[in-house]
Amino acid sequence: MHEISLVDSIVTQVSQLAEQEAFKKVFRIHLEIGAMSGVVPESIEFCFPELSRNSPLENALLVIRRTALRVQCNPCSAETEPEIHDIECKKCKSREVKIIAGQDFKIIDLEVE
Amino acid sequence: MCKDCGCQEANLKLRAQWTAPSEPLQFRVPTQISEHSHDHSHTRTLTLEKKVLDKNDSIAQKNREWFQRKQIRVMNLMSSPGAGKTYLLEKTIEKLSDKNKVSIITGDQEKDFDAQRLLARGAHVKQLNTISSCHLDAAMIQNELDQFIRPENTELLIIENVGNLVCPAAFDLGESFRVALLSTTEGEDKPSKYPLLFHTADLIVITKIDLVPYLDWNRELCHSHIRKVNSQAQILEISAKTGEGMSVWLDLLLS
Repeated sequence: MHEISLVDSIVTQVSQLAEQEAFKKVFRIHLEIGAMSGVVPESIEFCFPELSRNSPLENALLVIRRTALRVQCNPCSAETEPEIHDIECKKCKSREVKIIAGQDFKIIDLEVE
Repeated sequence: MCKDCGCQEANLKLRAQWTAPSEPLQFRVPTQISEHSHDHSHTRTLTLEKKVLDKNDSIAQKNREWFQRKQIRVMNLMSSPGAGKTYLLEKTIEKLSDKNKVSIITGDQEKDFDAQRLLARGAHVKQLNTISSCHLDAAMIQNELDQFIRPENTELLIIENVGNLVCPAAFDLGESFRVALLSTTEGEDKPSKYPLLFHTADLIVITKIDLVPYLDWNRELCHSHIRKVNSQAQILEISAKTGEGMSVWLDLLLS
């Protein structure tokens, strides 16, 4: 459940940003969670209301976009989206692939007042 | 929610504007939604595109640069609880000579049993207790630079992470290489069930190989689960108890 420290980090970062950018309240926060980020979206949702209390994020709408794991194949150059427990090129089945998306956990943007 | 009238219209408008994504979106939409509509021009959007772990990653990078300057190799050793990390390190310490400058940081939520075991073997070791946290992070290692970790007595730092196949994988500590342990008693399929940790490992060590005659453990199946998530990592089979594979392990460690 490292999601607690991750949500805590989001609250800290957004609170610092609130001082820099002079806003008091976040209406909406948009997160991106990659399939290979090791982050469970449901756990983020679970922690968010409690950890955001008394911060600019309190009562903010949490929008989570899940992104698939995306790889590029070395031999055939195809870009495909394999399952995270079976990382291969979906076109030629080679396992010589490079991950090009789906590893990150990001704050994309904030709707603030 | 709108500060002027308390309605939820701003959120609804944002949802409507959202371009159709290929993946499903999740919303925690409040249950009370007003029909009332007006312009929410008093809000603005701040685009961040920022990794949540940016802070950890930047401390980890500073750690990595410090280790490189001081010519210290750093291993981040990860596995489930009970895979045999501490036992492997006990047997490793026994095989090392005084000229091998090795320090060990061992992480657990509570207690210093691991550090006591390693201390009894003569290791230079420090126990870190994470209390409520399920992993070590870069700042915990940063606190030990020039304190417990000193260049004059450390050429190799082994960080024995908290026993956990999920959370430690997400936190870069500034290590030079990652080692994942997988014991035969855990079965063959852990790499497929916990892909991130095994995917990020440079070396995967299958431990307790001496127990294979007593288990329904299938070597080919286990290797196939590993290869599905990591096609590159070296795989090493060892028994710290019988010494099988230990010389290769020590060569890798000290090379």
